[in-house]
Amino acid sequence: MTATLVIANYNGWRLLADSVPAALEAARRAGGHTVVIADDGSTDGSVDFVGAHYPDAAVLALHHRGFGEACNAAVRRADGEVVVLLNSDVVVAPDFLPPLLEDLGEPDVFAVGCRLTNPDGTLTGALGNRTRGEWRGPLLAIHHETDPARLRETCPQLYANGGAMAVRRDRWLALGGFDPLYRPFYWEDVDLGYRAWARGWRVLYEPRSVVAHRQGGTIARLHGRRRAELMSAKNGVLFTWRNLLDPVLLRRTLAAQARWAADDVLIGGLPPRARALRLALRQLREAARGRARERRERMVGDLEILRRAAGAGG
Amino acid sequence: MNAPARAVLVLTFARRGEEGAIRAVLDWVRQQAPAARIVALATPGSADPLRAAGVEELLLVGASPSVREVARAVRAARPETAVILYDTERLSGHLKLEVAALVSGAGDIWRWGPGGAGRRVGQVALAATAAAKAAAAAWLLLTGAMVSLAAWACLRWAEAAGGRGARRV
Repeated sequence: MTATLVIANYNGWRLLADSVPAALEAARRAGGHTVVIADDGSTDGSVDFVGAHYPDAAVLALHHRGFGEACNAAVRRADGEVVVLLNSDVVVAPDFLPPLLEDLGEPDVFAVGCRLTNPDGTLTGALGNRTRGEWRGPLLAIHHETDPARLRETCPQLYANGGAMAVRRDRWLALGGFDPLYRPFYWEDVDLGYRAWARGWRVLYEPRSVVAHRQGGTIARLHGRRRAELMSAKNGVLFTWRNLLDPVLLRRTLAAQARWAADDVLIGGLPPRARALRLALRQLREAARGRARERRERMVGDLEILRRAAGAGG
Repeated sequence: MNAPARAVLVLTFARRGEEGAIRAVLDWVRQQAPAARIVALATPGSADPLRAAGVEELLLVGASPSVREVARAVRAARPETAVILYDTERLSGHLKLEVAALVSGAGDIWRWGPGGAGRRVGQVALAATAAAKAAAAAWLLLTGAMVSLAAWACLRWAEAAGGRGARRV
């Protein structure tokens, strides 16, 4: 299988100085693969920087429409059977690609996620490894495994972190890619993985494919922590509205969301929950349209999705 | 807090990354009342950060404790002083901790903001603040209920209109 390595970038030319040469080296070692920088309308000279320093990398210069749309555009135009999506703050190991291609060779695999470490190689606080989900409280609670002993084998997971995932291009296109409902960022990868499981496909975690990730480096730097948490909470609510079809779970979750707003006063801190709910409300009709489509195409129930993603067979 | 207190109750949500702020409060309490026994209300999620910060005695309650459960736990410690740790400059939110301080029976209540300074607050003033916040919480609960109701109606309608023919496992 041929692969296109897509590095999504927005105003991150300093990060590209580390991530692009690593991706080029990995593509060269595995042989016959290409690297594309999907630039989401950067204004910091990223496009010129790549053109001047990395002539082997193609550049897809886009208007600024957010992370998800940039990835969608890049996957549409990619020529590989496999697309590897990488954040600009992700530096891949030279041999990270072959295990991903091997896993994607299995007939029912939709996507494979990498082993995401901190830049120093540790896993403390690292997000996106062997993800699992649980319907609890107002949102889908997501668990990221950080125990190295549980991260030694290829295994199922709920979703592959959008910052370092390999996906079969034809299946990505069949699912419609990242849903623009989740603009500007966060939860689009959770949604995609959930919908893939809902179609009967699998998402895997591949510990042999190692990448180093500066956690939250780009979004926190560009948007600030408060806005990042607000968008995450808003999109977590929208994810529920779009995907949770089980009527009992939905009623329970909506009741928890109603109570959640009061936590702004009862508890305080981030995220600003009531504001997140109000922002989500503005996109309710869009979420409902996605839900109608989900209802038509769904093959696996909500609890069964989480059970299979946790490695319970199916 | 001039005289040594028998027990000082530290009230905090102990979020990740707050260990430094908790330690600062503990240092301050130990300076003010070296003989004090420092206790803290803790849920299963906050127990480890509190222990890591150096709290000697934890009053363990459930993950989502009721007011009655909290009251029983904090009264059992018989605190003479309560210190509420805020993580906002404007001392917003934290109604649960303010209620815990009020029901603890502590005669002396202090607020500790992110600036790292304790400020004494009278029980009446704190009760007034808590009452205003309770009203705000009720309003937010109503807002949340309206959003959830609108979502439920819209999603049901969307499913009825366009969601036929689904298969489930």
